[in-house]
Amino acid sequence: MTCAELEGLAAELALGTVSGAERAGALDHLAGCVACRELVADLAQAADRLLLLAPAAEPPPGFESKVLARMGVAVPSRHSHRPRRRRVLAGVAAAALVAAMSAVGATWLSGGTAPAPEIRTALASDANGHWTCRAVVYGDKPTWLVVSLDRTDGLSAAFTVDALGVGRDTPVPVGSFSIDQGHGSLAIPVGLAAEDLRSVRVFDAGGRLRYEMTFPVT
Amino acid sequence: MPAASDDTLLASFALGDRDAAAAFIRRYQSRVYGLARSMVVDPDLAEDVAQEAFLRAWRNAPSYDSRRGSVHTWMLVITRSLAIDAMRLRRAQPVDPEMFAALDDRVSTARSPEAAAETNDEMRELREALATLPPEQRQALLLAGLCGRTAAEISEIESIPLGTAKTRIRTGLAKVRSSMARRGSDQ
Ligand SMILES: [Zn+2]
Repeated sequence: MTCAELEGLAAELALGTVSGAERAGALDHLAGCVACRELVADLAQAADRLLLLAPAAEPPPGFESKVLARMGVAVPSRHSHRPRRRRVLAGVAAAALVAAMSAVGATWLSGGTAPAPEIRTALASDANGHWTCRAVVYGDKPTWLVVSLDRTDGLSAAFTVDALGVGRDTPVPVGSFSIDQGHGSLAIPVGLAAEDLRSVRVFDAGGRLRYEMTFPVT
Repeated sequence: MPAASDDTLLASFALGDRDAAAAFIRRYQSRVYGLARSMVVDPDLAEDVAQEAFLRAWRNAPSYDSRRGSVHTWMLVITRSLAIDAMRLRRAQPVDPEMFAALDDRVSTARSPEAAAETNDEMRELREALATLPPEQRQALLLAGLCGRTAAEISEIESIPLGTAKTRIRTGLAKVRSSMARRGSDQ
């Protein structure tokens, strides 16, 4: 497929209606052509937004429980006692968590039957709610640390992160991240067991300590 | 507790938190099922598609990229892809003319009650861009974009040559795109 042929097909590709051999030919061309890829991606923004105009319609009764059942998520029960620590996830910055999950693997995403992963969170925030920095640690071999910072002042800046282990005086360097318009996160494996993590520190570009999140003692 | 943001809810959903999963499904089910209906028409097949969309979202949550669009749009893109696959496997049902007329009505009048109630600037401008398209371009674009019809199917539905169907789709989408681009450069 040539660029000209691809161009003629770009709108239909963006709308998702090309299939079969034609689609295969187009994808093959796109894999090797940045210009055409950008053209299709650009049109896809418009095509995707069109979807928001679709009329809403209520699915048949029982839809929600059918989906939950297929997910393997337990049916609600008054007597069920879900592990309390799952609750902490509600407050976690999703983008960071989701980014980290892809590396953790699917085994512990399987819902009701799998044991809940050990998750610890620690938070630093100011009294006015102008910023909140979260540290979430979970997993084993590797231990994943997610640090996310949300500021309401729209700041764009770079930060570095280190971690302190229980009974250790030497901090473990973790990595760096930047925030854009107030938001940013870091998801990275750390060389400490989750239960041995005492606190996570975030430093600004000038090396000043800006946030320190101390994990509750387990 | 305030309602969780879409992103946060998606993360908890992905982790298999039951309450979050139920809340996530409730938040999007009517939009997902509505789009599936617009595309595959058959209610049973639409329900299958909608269920699959939530399962795929659950499995693929790590691939969600907030820079590319809202969770809402992401759910609908997943739904579209599954609906189109389902239509290719089973012979697509004809577009429901009544439903399509209602759809075209909703988007063709920038002065409709829904348009007037639209508080989101981007959506209002999308509606306006669609309203100013020639009807034949708008209909071709809606048949492709919201009903999942191929250019060949549209040429059959509208009794027009294939080349004409392709041109209408392409021109219609390009105009909508450039109205979005204009807005982008205004800011
Ligand atoms: Zn090309």
